[in-house]
Amino acid sequence: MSAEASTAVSSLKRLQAIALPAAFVGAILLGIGFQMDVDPGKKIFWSSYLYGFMVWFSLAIGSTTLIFLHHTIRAQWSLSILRVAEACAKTLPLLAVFFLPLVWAAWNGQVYPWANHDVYHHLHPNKQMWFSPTGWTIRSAIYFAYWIIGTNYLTKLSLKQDDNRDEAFAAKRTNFAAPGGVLHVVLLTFAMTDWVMSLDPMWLSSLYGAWHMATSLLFSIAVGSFILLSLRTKSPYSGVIQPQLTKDLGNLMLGFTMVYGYFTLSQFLIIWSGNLPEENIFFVQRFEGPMVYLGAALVVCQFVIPFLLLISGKTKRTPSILRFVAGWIAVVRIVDLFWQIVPFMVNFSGGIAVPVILGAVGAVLAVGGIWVYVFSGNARKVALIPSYDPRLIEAKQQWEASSHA
Amino acid sequence: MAINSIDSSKRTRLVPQNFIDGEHSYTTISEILAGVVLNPKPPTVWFVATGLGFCVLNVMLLAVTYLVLTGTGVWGNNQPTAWAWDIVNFVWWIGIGHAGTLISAILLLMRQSWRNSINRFAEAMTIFAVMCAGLYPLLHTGRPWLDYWLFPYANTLGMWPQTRSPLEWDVFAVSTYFTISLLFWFLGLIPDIATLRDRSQHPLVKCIYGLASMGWIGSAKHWFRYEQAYNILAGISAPLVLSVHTIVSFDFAVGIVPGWHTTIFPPYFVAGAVFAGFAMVLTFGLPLRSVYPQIKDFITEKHLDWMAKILLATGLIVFYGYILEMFYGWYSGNTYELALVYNRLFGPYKWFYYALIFCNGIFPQLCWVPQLRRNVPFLFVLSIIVGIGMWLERFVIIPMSLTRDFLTSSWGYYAPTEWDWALFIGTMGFFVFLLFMFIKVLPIINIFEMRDLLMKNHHQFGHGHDGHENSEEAH
Repeated sequence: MSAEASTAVSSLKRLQAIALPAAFVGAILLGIGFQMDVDPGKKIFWSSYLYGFMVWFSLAIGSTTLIFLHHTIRAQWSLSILRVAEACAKTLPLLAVFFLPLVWAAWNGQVYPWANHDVYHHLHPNKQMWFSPTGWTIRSAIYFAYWIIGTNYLTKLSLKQDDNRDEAFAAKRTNFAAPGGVLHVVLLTFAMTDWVMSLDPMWLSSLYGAWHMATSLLFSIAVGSFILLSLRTKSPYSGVIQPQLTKDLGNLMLGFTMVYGYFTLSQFLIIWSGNLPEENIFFVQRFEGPMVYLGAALVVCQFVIPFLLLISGKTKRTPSILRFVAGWIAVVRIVDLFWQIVPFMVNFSGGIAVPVILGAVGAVLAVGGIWVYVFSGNARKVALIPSYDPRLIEAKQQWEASSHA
Repeated sequence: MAINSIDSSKRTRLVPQNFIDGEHSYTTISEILAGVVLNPKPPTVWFVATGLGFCVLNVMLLAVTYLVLTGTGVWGNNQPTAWAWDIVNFVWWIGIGHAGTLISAILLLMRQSWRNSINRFAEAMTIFAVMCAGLYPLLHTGRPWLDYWLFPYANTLGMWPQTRSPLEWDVFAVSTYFTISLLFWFLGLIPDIATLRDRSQHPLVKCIYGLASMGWIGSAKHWFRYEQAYNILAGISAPLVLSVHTIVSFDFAVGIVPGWHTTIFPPYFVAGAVFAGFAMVLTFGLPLRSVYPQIKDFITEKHLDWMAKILLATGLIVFYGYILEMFYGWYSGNTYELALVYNRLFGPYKWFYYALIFCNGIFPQLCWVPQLRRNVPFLFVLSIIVGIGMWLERFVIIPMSLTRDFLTSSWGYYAPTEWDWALFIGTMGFFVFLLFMFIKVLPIINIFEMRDLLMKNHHQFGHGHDGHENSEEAH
């Protein structure tokens, strides 16, 4: 095996090579779904597109949260996946481009009910004030601008420190990330209100922004861990993998799996108990047809199974098992986003129609193919482990020394 | 890869901090910490505080006796405010206890060594705070002598508790919380009680500590079993940090009263509980450092800095909750939610709301200034302000919403009676009294964990004082 073949970079190159064909296949499937969609407003197409966008946005925004959090507390546990998170967050400009069709839709009465004049005039004046295409577009532009500028700034300082090892950069990152993270949380809450919650302008849940924040963070940690563990025998990851590291990653996934369960149950229980029409519509839509079974399966697959697996020490010590769990969590997150988003626009009481499946799979592949292409390119360009921070390599050396002793 | 050739002079901020100041040996640690307990002459302040606590505790006993003899009508509760100070104070006290569990369980699992200096008295505060909290719902049932009916047991009455009510969930949540916290606290005390047994001179004292130490001799087998049991209890306690206050938040959130029914309540209540709990740890920890200056080497400025950071973080979550409550109230367009927003800003209790925003939202932002996070007078004032703010939060949520419910004909104004005040102030006396009694009979700082920390510091930094300088030398 050549030296290049054993590095993580070469694996990322191979990933990049298959990304664009996948995007092409996805675009064809999405196109077929569009043709088969008989709804005059093309609701299946738009719900699929929004879903495809949200899957990759969720990964990028979860990584953004991870970056802000990492630099605020100067964490050790996220060090190994920091560069993957930075590469994910660097796709935000691409996602802003993918967002443009949704802006077009909002200005043309598609996707969002409030964008339709008939619905708009029946809304409460406060909602009319909040939901105008102009206001919504300006807010969306502010969200993207802040996230792109904020993550670029932090990533730039992190990479700079790799070159000159100036400790002042670490202080600068913390000084920005701490207050910047607070603003990020607020903006993400409003973004989820604007982009997802407003798919039903009558519905609201004050936990929804925090729910997306926690689950996207879990998604990002799971994808980062999956990549790290898949490339564990390759440089530079082979130099840092040791049981304490995999234990930390496993515990992180366990912690956020519990947060997912906690937030989801809390939201469900409060809305279900209150039983107010403007709130319980969210669950009424998701208890129709096959969605109720999908919802139940999500509870098992997204909470019970990872929880039981991750509570075991063996899972966290064994990279191959942990890799499986990380991959499992990532896949279930993608399915969960379908359950979250598509029923806002598509009625499932008659079952799942073929165009819905084609559209959803197509959108995830179409957006995802291009996203993965850009992500892999970003990841290949940087040192995958921050070399200014010696904690990972030291931990590995200490572990090796103690194992030999 | 460049990672193998790191210049060690560039990593001062990345090494762990040393959380023991000054020059110490295993012996000096034991002498100082056991000395606080075994010293036959406690400082005068101890007598003053314990005496004061005892006097105020009697106010509580008086209030409880009068209430039991007369009925809950002695409180200011009346329709539409069927829940008032009893629940406000219950939630306030139970929240205070949360810092202890967070410090002892979650920070332990996260391997945060700075917790070792503060976990013991924070855990004691948890237990005493839960005792104060538990008093309110037990009395509010109106017939406290029948409180055992709250538990589902086979009886001839054919009555079972209403398991769909979060109030019944509270019974299990709080009783589990109290039991586990007590076990956890006692288990952690056993090695230290054995130290006190070995160091005490008086035969009776030796005998009492000997019985309480349960035959601890510090053998490898004992330590092994201890570690196992401690970690298991930590694992059980960690979810309790979330579950107890979540269930308390469900008391309100599963109803549809405006201001109660909002999905952000569970995490926002938990963050608020930790916020209030850490404030109380500072309220008592800072004066303790003055009364017993010898412990300043163990509760250092670095500890204060960390606690201030946690206060800031949890305070921000709470503030986020306040913003969302108001935003979504406005966004909903719902008549009752809009009325709530208006009522909070311009209603008869508006000053309570403004004070709440100041205490919990605005004032803690001063913790962004690093110098203030180590400034003892500032932290003390902050802790008091946060304590007041967290009480106001519960007042704003509970009576404020109830006095302005769905029917304008049932609107009212709530004011507490002197018996509400007597009970609340009395529980404070109870808490203070128990805390100072604890200081006199058990070590306020974990002796063996501090010795363990010292050993780890020697490995990490070499023999010396501060982490940074010594890490430079060590590496």
